Amino acid sequence: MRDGSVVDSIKPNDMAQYEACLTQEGEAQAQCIEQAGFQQCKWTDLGQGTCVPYHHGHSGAGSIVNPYTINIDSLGMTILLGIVFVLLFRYAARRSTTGVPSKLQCFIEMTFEFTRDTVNGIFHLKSKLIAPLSLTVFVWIFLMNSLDLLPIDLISYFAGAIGIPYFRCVASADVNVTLSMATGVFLLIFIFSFRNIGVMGFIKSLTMHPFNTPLLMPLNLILEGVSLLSKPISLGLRLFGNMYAGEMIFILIALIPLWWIQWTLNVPWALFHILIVTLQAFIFMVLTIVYLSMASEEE
Amino acid sequence: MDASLISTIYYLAAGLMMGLASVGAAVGIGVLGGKLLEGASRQPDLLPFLRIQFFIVMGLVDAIPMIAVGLGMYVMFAVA
Amino acid sequence: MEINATFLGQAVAFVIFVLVCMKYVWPPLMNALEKRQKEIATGLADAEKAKKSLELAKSGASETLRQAKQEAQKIIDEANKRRSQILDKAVEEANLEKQQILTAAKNEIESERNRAREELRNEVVALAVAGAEKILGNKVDSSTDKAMVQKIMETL
Repeated sequence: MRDGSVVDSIKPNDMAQYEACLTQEGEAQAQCIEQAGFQQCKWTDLGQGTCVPYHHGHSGAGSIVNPYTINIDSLGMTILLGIVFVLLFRYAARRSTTGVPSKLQCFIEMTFEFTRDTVNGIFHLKSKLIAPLSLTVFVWIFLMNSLDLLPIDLISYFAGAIGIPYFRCVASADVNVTLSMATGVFLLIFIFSFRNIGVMGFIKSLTMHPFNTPLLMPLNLILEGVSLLSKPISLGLRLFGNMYAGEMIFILIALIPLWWIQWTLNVPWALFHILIVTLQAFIFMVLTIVYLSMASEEE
Repeated sequence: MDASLISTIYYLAAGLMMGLASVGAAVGIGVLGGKLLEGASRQPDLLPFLRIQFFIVMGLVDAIPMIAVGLGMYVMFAVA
Repeated sequence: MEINATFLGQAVAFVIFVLVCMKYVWPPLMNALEKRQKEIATGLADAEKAKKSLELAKSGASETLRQAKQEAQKIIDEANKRRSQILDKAVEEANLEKQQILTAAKNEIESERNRAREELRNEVVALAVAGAEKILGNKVDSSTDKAMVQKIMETL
């Protein structure tokens, strides 16, 4: 990211020579590119038809934390879907007439009432943040997940034509996206605890919980700490694992050599995946509300 | 260690992860389904409510095995 | 798979979208739903009121109907009474007239009888005189015979 380059996308130095090499001699892409010489494609080169996807081996051992790369595909999809969510709901709110509502409006109002009833059933304090937060989380994750039902290579085919080598259209199959939302909820747990039961109350809930004696405070701290840390990790990774595994199984089904037999596996898995999509969005929302309500109540 | 041994170990690791995850998921959901049937046989008119709760808890029980499956697939395809 | 700068980008986007939802999406939806609920509640209350007034109107209507029927019955009774009154009066008048006619008829009969008797007497007298004349063979002398004839006529 420091130099504005796109991962695994290169630009042959001499385009004509590269194409001539490919068509005439039928050599492998690697050799043609070695012949023509290449450089990394940058941001500004996309869309001009000069970039070619090419994977030239692992450039060094990557670590698990790499703050210099940004996944434009998933980030772009999340921002796009967030904007779609906001516009859709504002449109429905503005157009709510007193007469007979349209189907879209009914659907949006059903979603709204569903989240409001869920929040009211679990969270018993007054808060202006919880209900919009849970609505955002539910609809946003549902929209992100539901893109998994499109055919696998549909969007990445069009993206490859521009020169983007990999395009992940299911944003919640990116571990960054889900872990980021889970970490947001984790920080909100702290904020809610500090606001509702105070710092001392929070520390007491961490250190006094399974055993109520001051002697066993370290033990309590270890147990409660593990349980506290497992919340964001499990929240984020659950969504990631479900979506990533679902997409991976779609890819594997698409790799079966006989194209006319793929539907026998594809259709049942897609039907099951519809359930998983909705369920995972709902579970993320419910667990958010449950964690925040557990964090803000006294014993 | 040459590359094929490392690759073999990666595949073994992926298989182990997915296998144990499936055992956990199967046992958990099996017990849960049994409890659903038992509860439904005690109070048949609560069945729609129990069904909703079953799916919710199934999503939770499925979580860690799904994480293991996801990471196993990653190891099998993107690492090995 | 790695944790990269998308993490922070997504966190920023998350915060922005939650704040936007809190300010611009949730309140309009909440207000719209509450407004519709209030309208439904007032609509239902109005329907209740309308139903109640309909029932009231219906019971009032049956009450009026009952009263109307009573009055009709009363009028019919009065009409019957008047009819019987009229009939009685007519019968009386008819009786009266019958009596009158009867008496008139009787009077006429009397007068007729009288007249008939007069005529008969005259004829009888004439016949008696004629017979007497014939018997006597002579003409009856006028004055004394007339006196005798008168006496006979009187005895008749």
